Amino acid sequence: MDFNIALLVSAHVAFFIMLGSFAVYSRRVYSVRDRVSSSTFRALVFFGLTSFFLGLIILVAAYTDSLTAQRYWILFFMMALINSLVHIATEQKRIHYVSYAITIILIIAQIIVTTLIPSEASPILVTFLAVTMVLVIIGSIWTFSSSPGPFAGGLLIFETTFLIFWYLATSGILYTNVQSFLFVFLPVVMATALLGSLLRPPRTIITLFIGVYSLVVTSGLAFASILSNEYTITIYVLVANIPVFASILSIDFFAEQMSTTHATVPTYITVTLVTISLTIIFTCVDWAFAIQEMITLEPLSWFEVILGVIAASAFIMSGVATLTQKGHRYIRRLLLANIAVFSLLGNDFIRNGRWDFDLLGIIIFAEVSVGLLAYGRTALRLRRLGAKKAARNFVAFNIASILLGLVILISFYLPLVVIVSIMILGAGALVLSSPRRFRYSRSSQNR
Amino acid sequence: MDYFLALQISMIVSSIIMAISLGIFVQSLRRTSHRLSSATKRALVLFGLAAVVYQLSISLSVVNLMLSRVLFSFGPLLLDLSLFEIIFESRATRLKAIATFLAFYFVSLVLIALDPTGPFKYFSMVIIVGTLFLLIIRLHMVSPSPFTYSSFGIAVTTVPLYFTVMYGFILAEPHFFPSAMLGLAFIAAILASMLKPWRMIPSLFLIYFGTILAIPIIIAAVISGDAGIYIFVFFAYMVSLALVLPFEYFVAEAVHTHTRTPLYIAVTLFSIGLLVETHWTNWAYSYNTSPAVGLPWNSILFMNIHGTWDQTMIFFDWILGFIAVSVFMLAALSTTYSERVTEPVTDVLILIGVPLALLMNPWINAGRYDSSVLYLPMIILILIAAAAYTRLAWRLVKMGHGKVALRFVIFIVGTISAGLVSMFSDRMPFIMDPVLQTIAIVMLMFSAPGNPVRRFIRILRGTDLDQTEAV
Repeated sequence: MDFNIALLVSAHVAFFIMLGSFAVYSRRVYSVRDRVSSSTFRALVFFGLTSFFLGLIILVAAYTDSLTAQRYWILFFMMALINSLVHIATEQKRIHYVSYAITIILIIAQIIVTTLIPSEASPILVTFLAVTMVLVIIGSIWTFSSSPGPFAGGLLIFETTFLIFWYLATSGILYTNVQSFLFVFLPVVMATALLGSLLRPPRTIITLFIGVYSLVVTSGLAFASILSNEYTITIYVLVANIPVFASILSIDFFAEQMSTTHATVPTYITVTLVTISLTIIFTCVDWAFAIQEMITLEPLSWFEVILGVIAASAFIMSGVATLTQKGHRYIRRLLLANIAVFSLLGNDFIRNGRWDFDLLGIIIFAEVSVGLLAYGRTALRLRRLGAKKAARNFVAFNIASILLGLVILISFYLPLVVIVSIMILGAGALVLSSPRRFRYSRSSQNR
Repeated sequence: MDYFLALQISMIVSSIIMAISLGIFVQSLRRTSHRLSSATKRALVLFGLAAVVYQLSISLSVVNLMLSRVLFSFGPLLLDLSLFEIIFESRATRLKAIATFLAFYFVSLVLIALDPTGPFKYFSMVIIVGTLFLLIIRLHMVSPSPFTYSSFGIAVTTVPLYFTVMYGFILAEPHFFPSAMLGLAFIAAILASMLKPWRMIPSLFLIYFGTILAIPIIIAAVISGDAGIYIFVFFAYMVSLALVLPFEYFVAEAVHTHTRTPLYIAVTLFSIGLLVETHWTNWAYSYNTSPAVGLPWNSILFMNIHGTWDQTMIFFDWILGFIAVSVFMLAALSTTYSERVTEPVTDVLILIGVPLALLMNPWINAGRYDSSVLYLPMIILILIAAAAYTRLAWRLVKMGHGKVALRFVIFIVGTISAGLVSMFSDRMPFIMDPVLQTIAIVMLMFSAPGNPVRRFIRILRGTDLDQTEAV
C-alpha cells in the first residue's frame, strides 16, 4: 500500500470537509453580524481565513515537499491568525490599524522577494514568520488565561498541532516517514471542528474533531488499500472506525453532562471515550503499516501506549467515583504518576530495544481489571438502590468501551475475523447501551 | 577508607542505640504498666523481643550469615504474634488463629527442608510477611493508630532487609550499608517512642540514622587518615542534628494547628535530613575514588575533590532531593494560595517529577546521557520557591513582624545551604563545604524558637511533649 496516495486522498478529504465547514461558518458569521461588535466580527472573519489557508497549506504539503511553494500560504495564514488574535485581544482601532499595516507591508515584501528570488524562500521572512508564531502563541496563552473558554483552548491546541505539522514538514519527516501523516491533519481537523462549532455548544468541538479526524484518516487508508488490492486493510480500517462513530453519540451526551453539571464522572468517561477513539484511529495506521512490513511503528506505538494508559486511568477514576474525596485524590495522584512512568518507559529512546511493548500492555490490562472491579462494586450498589436498568446500561456501556480499546491494542495478535466481529458487536453494544439515542442533529440545536 | 570496617562498626553502633531504645522502652512500659491491659502488655513485650531479634540477626550477619538468616525469620514471626495478641480479644480464638498460622509455618519449613532450592525457597518468609501485612491491614481498618503505621513501616522494611542483608549483598557492596541501617534505625525510633507521642518517631529516626551512618564512617576515616571524609562527615552529621530542631518544631505546629504549611515544611526538612545522611555515605565512597585519597588535611583544603559517585545512591538522593524541592515550593505556595491552586500544582509536580526521577536511574540511563542536564528543572523549582519566600518575608516585614520575617529568612537560608552542600559538594573547593555546613548549622539552630541545646535534649528525652497524645 502506498502511503503517499493515502496522504494525498486524506489531504483532499480534509480540505473539502474544511470547505464545507467554512461555508457553514460563513453563513453563521453573516447571520450574527448585527449582534456582535465590529472587532469581534472581524476576528471571526480572520479566523475563518486562517482555517482556509491552513487547509491550503496541508493540500500543498501533500503534493510537494518544497517549502518555496508554501511561502504565500504560510504568510497569509500567519497574518490572518495574528489579526484575528489582535481583534480578540483589544478593541482599540489604532492597534488594529497597526496590525493591518504590518500585514500589508509583509505581503508587499513577500511579493518583492518572490519576484527577485523565485527559487528559494527568503531566510529573513522565514525568521520573521517564526517570531510571529511565537508571538501568536504567547498572545493566545494570554487570551486563554484572561478569558478561558473552549474557543481559546481550541485555538491553543490548534497552534500546538500546527507547530507539530510545521516541524514534520520542514524537517522532511513527513516525506520520508509518510505514516506520520496522522499528525499532519491534526491542525486542519481542529480548525474544522472550531469552525463548525460556532454558535453551537462547545462540546461540538470534541465530537466534530473525533468524527472528522476518523473520516479523514480512514478515507485515505481505505482508498490507498483498495488501489493496491489489499482488502484486509480496507476491511480492518473501515470496521475499526464503526465504534469510533458509535461512541460519538455517547461522547456528546457525557460532554453535555460534563458542561452542565460539572461533575467528575462524566468528565472521566468523556476522557476515556475520546482517548479510545484516538487509539483506534492511531492503531489503524500502525496496523496498516505493520501488516505489510511485519514490524510495528515504534513512535506510533508509543502514542498508543500513552493513550491507552490515559484511557485505562480515566476508566479507573470513573469507576472509583463513589469513594471519599481523600481516597479519590490519592488514587488520582497514583494514576498520574503511573501515566508519567508509562509515557517515559514507552519512549523509543528510553526503551533502547531493551523491553517490549507487550510488557507495558500487560500492566494496562492489570489496570483495566482493577477498573472492572471498581465498576462491579458500583453496579452492585446501583442494583441495591433499585436502579437495575441503569446499573446494567452503565456497566455494559463502560465495559464495552474499554474492552474495545484493549482489543484494538492487541489486534496484532488476533485474526481479522475475530477483530471484525468484536468491533461490530462492540459498536452495537455501545449504541444500544448509550444514554443517548439517535437524535444527534436535533440535540445539538438545544444548547 | 575501608568500608567493611565501617560496616562492622555500624553494627556495634546500631546495637548500642537499640539497647538504649530498649532501656527507654522498658522504663516507659514499667511506668505505665498499671494502665495497660494484660493483652496489650504481652503484645508490647513481644514487640520489644521482635526488635531485639531484628537487631541481633542483622548484627550477626557480618559474623555468620547462615546463623543470622535462621534468626531473621523470628523477628517478623514475633511481630505477627504481637499483632495476634491485639487483634483477637478472646483467648480461644487467638490460640486457634496462632495455631493455624504456626501450622502453615511448619508445613512451609518442612517443604523447604525437603527441597531447599526448589520453588518453596521463600515460602516461609512469604507466609510470615504476608500474614504480617494482612494483620496490619485488619488492625488498621478496625482502629487506625500510629502503632499500625509503624508496624506497617517495619513490615515494608523487612522485605529489602531480607534481600539486601540475608543474601550477602551488603557484605559484597559494603557502601550500601545505609539500606540495612534504615530498618534498624526505624525500629529503634519506634521502640523508644512507644507509649509516647508519635511525632517523636521521625525526629528520633533522623537522629538515630545519622548517628549510625556518621560514627562508623568517621572512625574508619580517622583510622585510614582520610581527612576529607571525616571533616565533611562530621560537619554534615552536625547539620543533620541541627535539622531536627526546626523539624520537631514544625511537626508540633502541624499537629496542633492542622494546617498545611508546617506539614509541608516538615516533609521538606525530613527529606533534606535523609538526603544529607545518605549523601555523606556517597561522599565517602566518591572520595575513595578521587585523587585526594591519602593526602594530609592541609593539602586538600582548596582542592576540587571530584571522584566517581555511586549512581544508584545518587538516584535515591535525587528522589529525596526532588521531594524536598517540590514540597518546599508547595510550602511557599500554600502560604498565599488556597487548595484550588496547590492541588493542580501538586498534580503537575507529580507529572514532571516522576519522569525526572526515573531519568536519573542508572539502568534507564545506561550511560547514554549526562544526568547533570536534569538539574536544570530542579534549579528552576528552587528559584520559584525562593521568589515566593522572598515575597512572603517582604509581606511579613510590611505587616510589622520584622522578627518573624528575620527568623523565617534565617531558616530558609539554612535549609538552602544544607541542600546546596548536598548537591554541589564536589563542584567547589573543599573548604567551602564545612563553611556552608557551619552556616547551615548556625542558621537552623537559631530558626526554631527557644534555647536550641535545651530543646535538643528535650527531644531526646521526650519530656516537653504533652502526654495526652500518647499511644
